[in-house]
Amino acid sequence: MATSIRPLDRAPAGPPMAVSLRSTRELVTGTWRTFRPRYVERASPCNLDCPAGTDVRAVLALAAEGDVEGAWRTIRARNPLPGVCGRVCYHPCETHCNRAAFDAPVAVHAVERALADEALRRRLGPEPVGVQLPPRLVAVVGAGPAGLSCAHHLARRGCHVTVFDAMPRPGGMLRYGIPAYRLPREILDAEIGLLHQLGVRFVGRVRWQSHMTALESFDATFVAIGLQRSRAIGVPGQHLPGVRSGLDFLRQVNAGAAEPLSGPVLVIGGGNTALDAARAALRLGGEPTIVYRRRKEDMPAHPDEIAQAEAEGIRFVFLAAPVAFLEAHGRVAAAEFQRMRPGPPDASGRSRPEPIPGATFTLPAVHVLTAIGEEVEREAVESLLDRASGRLAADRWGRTTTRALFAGGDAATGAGTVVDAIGSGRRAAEAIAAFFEGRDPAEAALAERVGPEHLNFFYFRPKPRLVLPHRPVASAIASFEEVVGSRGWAAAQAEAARCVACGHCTRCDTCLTFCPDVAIRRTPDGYEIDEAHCKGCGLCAAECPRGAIALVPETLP
Amino acid sequence: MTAIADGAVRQVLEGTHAISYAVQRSRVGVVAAYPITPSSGVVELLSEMCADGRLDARFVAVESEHSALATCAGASQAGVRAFTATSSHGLAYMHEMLHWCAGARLPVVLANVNRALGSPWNIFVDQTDSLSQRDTGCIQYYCENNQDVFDTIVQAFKVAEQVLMPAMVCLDAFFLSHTSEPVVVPAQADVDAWLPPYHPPFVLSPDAPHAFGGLPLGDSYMELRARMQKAMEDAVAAADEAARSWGERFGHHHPIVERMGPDRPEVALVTSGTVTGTARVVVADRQRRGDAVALVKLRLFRPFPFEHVRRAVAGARKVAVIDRNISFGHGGIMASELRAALCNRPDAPMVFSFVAGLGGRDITPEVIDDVIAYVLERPVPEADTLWVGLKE
Repeated sequence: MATSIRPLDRAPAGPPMAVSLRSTRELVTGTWRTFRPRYVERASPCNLDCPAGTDVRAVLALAAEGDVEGAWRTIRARNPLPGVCGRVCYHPCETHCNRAAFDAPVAVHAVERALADEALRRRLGPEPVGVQLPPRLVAVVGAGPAGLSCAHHLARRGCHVTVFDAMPRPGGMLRYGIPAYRLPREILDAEIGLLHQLGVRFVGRVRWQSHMTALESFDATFVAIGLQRSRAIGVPGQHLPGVRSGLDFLRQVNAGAAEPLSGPVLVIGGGNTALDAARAALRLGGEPTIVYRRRKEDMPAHPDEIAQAEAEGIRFVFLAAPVAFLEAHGRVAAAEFQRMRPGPPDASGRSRPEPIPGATFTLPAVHVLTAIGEEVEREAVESLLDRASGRLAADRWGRTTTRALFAGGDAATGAGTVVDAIGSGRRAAEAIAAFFEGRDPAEAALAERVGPEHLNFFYFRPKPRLVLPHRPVASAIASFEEVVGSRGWAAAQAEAARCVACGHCTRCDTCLTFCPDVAIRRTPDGYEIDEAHCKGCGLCAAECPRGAIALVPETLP
Repeated sequence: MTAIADGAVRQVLEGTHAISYAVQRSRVGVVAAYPITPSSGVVELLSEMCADGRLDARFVAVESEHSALATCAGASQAGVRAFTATSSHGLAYMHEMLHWCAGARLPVVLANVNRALGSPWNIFVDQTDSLSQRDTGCIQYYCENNQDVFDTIVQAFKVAEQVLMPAMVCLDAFFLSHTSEPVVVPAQADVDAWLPPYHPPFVLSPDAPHAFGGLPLGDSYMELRARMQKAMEDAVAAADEAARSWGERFGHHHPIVERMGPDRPEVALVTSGTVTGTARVVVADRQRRGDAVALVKLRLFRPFPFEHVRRAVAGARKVAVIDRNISFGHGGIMASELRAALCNRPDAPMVFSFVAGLGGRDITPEVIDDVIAYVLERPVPEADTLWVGLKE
C-alpha cells in the first residue's frame, strides 16, 4: 500500500504554525520599491508668509516648551520689535495657518505679544554684538520700523549705526501715526531702548534732503523715510479751516497736542489711517463717521480694526465720494457726497466705484479728516525717485543706482505695513553687509510650502484658539489706554502648543510605529530608512502627522 | 464556610467581574474589547484596572469584535498574553479570527457570555453562539458557577499556552454574568506559582524577524492541520491535569467531566452550564427516593473528552442530554456529540436528546424532574429530539 493510512498517534514533524525558520532580513524587499520615502523639511505657511522672515514655527515650538528667551531671541533674529508686532502687525502668518483646515489658526500674534511682554518683565537684554574690522559707519535716515530694523541688524553685526529722523523721537509712524490705544508707548520705548543698548545712536529733528553732504562720512546710507504726505483730496473746499489730513491729525494726537473735539467728524477714506483717525477722534469727544467710496469688503483696513471701530460705535457710510466741502462762518460746515455704485473690477480686483448720476447727499461736519492714502515727500528725494511709481527706486535688497546708498521701507516698497517695513530693513542690512564684504546678499532658499493636504489631522485634537480680551467699549473710548489686553504667559504658552509644527519632523515615532517592514531606525538626528528592506509602501508618508515625509518616484540606475 | 489560603480573598462577585479578577491574576498584557451585553462588565472592570494600575496591561478599545480578537492575535503573536470578552453577535463577528488564532497557534483566551442570537433580539442565555464556533479550533469550557468561572479562566491560559491553541470560557447570560456569588480570589503569588509566564516558541519581533502565516500549499497545509488536531487531543490531558493541580493547590475541584451518582444507573443525565447546579438538587432528590439516576457535568466541550465521557456514562442504560442550544435541522448539539462518542461501542446506551431553556427560558427543578421521569418511563425516545416545555 503506497499511501500511509494511520491514526494521529504522533504529529508530523515540523513547527506548529506556518513560520519562516530563517530570519526575513535576508529578503531584500527594497528591490520591490518604485517609490522612496524621504524625510523632508517643508516650509510652514507662517514662515513663508511672514514679511519679516520670522521662523514662526521655531518660535512657537520654543514658546510651547516654555523657553521664553529662546523664542524671543528667535523672533529678534529677524525682527527687533516683537512687542510692537505682537500688537499692530496684521499677522499674515495666521492667514494660511494649516490649523485653519482643522479648527482655527494658531493665534501667533498673541504668543508674540506675550513673549515680548514676558521678555520685558524679565528684563532680557540684547544679543551680543559682533565685531567688524574695520568698523563701518552706517547712516540710517528714518527711524520708523524699516530704519530701526536695518539699524538693529547692522549693529548686531558690529556696524556703528546712527539713525536720523525729522521728528524729535525715534519710531516714525509707530510713534506719530499709530495711536497709543493700539500701541502703548512704553512698549515701543522699551524695544527702541534695546537698540540703544546695541550701540545705535539716534539723532532727531534732521530732515533728509537729497545730496546731504553730512552723510558723506558714512560708509553706507539707508534711506527709509516712509510715506509722510497725505494725498490731496482735490475737491472744492479742501483748504477750508476744519479740513485737514488724518495723518496730520494723528501726529498732533500722538504728540499729545490735540484739542478736544465735539460734533460730527467726517473721515474720508477706508484704510488704516482712516480707522485710526476716526477712533482717535472718538476718544477726543468727536462723533466720527467714516465715508468710503467703495464697499465695506473693499476696505484696505484690516478687518479686526474695522470690527473694533464698529464695536466702538463709529458709523460707516459706503459707496460715497466727496465732491465738495461746504463753508459756513468761515470754516467747514458740511460735505457733499456723490452716491457711487460698484462697477466692473479694476486692476486690484476690487469693483471700481462709479457715480450714480444725480444722486448726491450732504452730511454736516465740524471737522473733516482726509485719509485717502499717503505718498513720498517727492521734493526731498528727487535724485532717488522712480517717477512712474512715485516711490524710491530700489531693488528687493534696497540697492539703488548710487553706490553705498540703499533705500527701503514704505517709501521704496509702498507696502504700508509695519512688518513689511521690518523685512525691508533687514534685507537692506544684509545688502549693506554684503556690500562691505564684497559679495552678493544671501538668503536661504525657500522650501516647498506645506498645505493641509500634506498633514494627517487624525493625530491632533481640536482646541479653541486663544482670544485676547478687549476693554469694554465704554471705557475703551474714554481714553487712549490699550484696548486689547493679555491673558498672561501661561495661556500664550498653551496657545503656542496648538502649533502642529507642519512640515517639520518632531521625532514623534509615528513612521517608525507604522512601518510594516521595520525598515525605519532612530538616529541621533532623526530617522534613517533601511533601503534594503523599505518596499516603498508609503505608509510612513501617509501617516506622518506633519507632512515631513515625501514619497518620490524611484529612478532606474 | 471553608477556610481559604493565606493572601486569598473571598469576594462577592458577579460572573463578569470574576472573569476580570481572573484576568488580572493571570497577568494579561493586552486586553482588547468591544463591549456587548451581557459581557460588558468584564472589560469595564478591566479598563478600570488598567487605568488605575491594578493591571499592568494595555487596554485597546477597538471598533469591532473582529478587531478585538485581531488585536489579541497580534499581541499573542508578539509573545504577550492577551484576553478579550464578548457574547452572541460579538462572538459571531469574531468567527474568522477564531479560525486564524487557532491556525496561527495563538493561545488567546476569550470569555463568552452565552447569549441568544438574533433575530429576534434576545439577550438571555442560549449556548448556540459558542457552539456555532465548535469547528474553529478553539478550546471550549462551560462553567457552572462563578468560582468555576474564575478558576477556568486561569486554567484556560495554562492549557491554551501548553498546546498553543486559543481557548473560550463560556458562562450563562445573567444566571452567572449578572449574579453575585462568593468567589475566592487567590493571592497573586499563588497564581504566579501555578501559571508560568507565556513564552511561545516563535515570537513576532523586529529584532529577529520571521514571516508568519505565509502561503503553505497542499504539500504542507494538511500536516499543519494534523498538528492542530494533535494539539487539541493533547489538550484533553492538559485540561485534566490543570483541573487536578488547580484543585490540589486552591481547593476548588472542577473535573473536565464530573460524574455524580450510582455506578450502573438507569439514567445518566448530562448537563452543562448552570443547569448542572439545578440538576444536582433534582438528581440527589431522585437518588434519595431510590431512583438509579446519575448526573454527568460536561465542563470541557472542545476538545471533546471522549474517554472521560465514555467512562462517565459507562454502565448506564439510558443517557439523557439537556441541550440549551439547537443545530437547526439536526437537534441538540451536545446530544449529537455524545451519540457520536458512544456509537461503534458494544452496550451503547440509548440516548435521549432534550432541547430546553432556549433564549433564557427557565429550566426549573420541576422541568428537570419531568425529563428524568420521561426517560425512566420509556425504553426508547419518541423522537431523535424532544422539546421540553414547548407551547401547543
